Amino acid sequence: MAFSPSATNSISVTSTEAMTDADEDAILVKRVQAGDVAAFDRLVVKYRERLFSIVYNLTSNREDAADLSQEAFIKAFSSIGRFKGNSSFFTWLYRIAVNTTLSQLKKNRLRRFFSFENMSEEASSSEILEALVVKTRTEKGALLSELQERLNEALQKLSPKHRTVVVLFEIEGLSHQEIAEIMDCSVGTVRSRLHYAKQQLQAYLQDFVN
Amino acid sequence: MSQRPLKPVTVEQLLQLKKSERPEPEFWARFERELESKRLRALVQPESFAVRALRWVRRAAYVAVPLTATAAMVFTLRGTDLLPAGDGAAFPQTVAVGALAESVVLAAHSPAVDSSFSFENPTFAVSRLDDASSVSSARAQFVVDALSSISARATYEKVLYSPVLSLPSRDGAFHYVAEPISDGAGGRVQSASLRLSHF
Repeated sequence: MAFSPSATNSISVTSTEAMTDADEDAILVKRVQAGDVAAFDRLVVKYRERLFSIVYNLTSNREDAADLSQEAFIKAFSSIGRFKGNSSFFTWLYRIAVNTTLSQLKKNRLRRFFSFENMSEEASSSEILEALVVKTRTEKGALLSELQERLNEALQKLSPKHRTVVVLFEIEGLSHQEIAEIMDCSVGTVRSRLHYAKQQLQAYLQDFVN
Repeated sequence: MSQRPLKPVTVEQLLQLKKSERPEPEFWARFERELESKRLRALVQPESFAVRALRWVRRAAYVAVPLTATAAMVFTLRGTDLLPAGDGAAFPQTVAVGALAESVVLAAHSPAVDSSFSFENPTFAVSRLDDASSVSSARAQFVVDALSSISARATYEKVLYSPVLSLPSRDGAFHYVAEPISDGAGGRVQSASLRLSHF
């Protein structure tokens, strides 16, 4: 399944597809709680790319992201018996992943160098990149590499909590409410962190931003 | 030829580019292998003393709660003359418990019952029984509560691990059978089904 942030977004809206998605999760969770390990594997396949994407954007390192998302899945598996369904499964899973990652970031145990994932075709043909090529008069490939590096640097300059809000809202497309649930804070705090983080990013990325 | 005016680029638009960063497909095969290996490793890792102690306490509670509940019920029935003391005690006790077991069967199959619960308050059964003004009308609920929890959302189809609890009835015997569910690797038993079987 290709990573699609819009798919993540669709979970939050009240559409038939979203309901089906949540229902499917609920059924799979019940099966896991009844001892069906294969049902958990299906949940892993369903969420691994989104979970990896979140952790990758929080750490800017693919090896750390892989380790931490695997750790989050293992934690979810061992504590799924305590999942009562008060929130949606994906919110619960994201909370585990975010907390695991923030905890590691706090301990400062993660790798300090950046490793980049490949940007897909759609990125290199995007209007934004075209505009930046004209503006900076740089070759597209080189610009894309530089942009990736600068974006990662800028994200890493933010505090972990500000970074998390930016990643979940701007990149993963979650709502303020969902982010508040995941981060266990108020919607107002989410909005305020997002506002501050964007101001910071604006300053760090001023070479690219008009 | 006139150049098109440059569109302003925003931070939000730049961040959108991050969406298109994806690992190659082979990455996921390795990811799954590693995850499976870590999951198995996590299952065989020795647990800390605290975790083992907590599990021991819980298991002890699971044994104690049904026994305490049954004992409390018998004492209460004696107190309300529903269960006469002396030589004739054995038969009424069996009848009462058998009737309760039947009530539990009905409760377990009731579609209105929520399907989540916990089993964590070993003293609840006794206190609930003490509160019951009419023991005869509270008997079924008492057993049900004794086997589940104080949660209003309790159900009676499943409990955390409990040893086999046999409740005799008038015409044969009803047995609560705790069926362990393994984690798939022959490891920890996390939960168990509570089934009422008629032997």
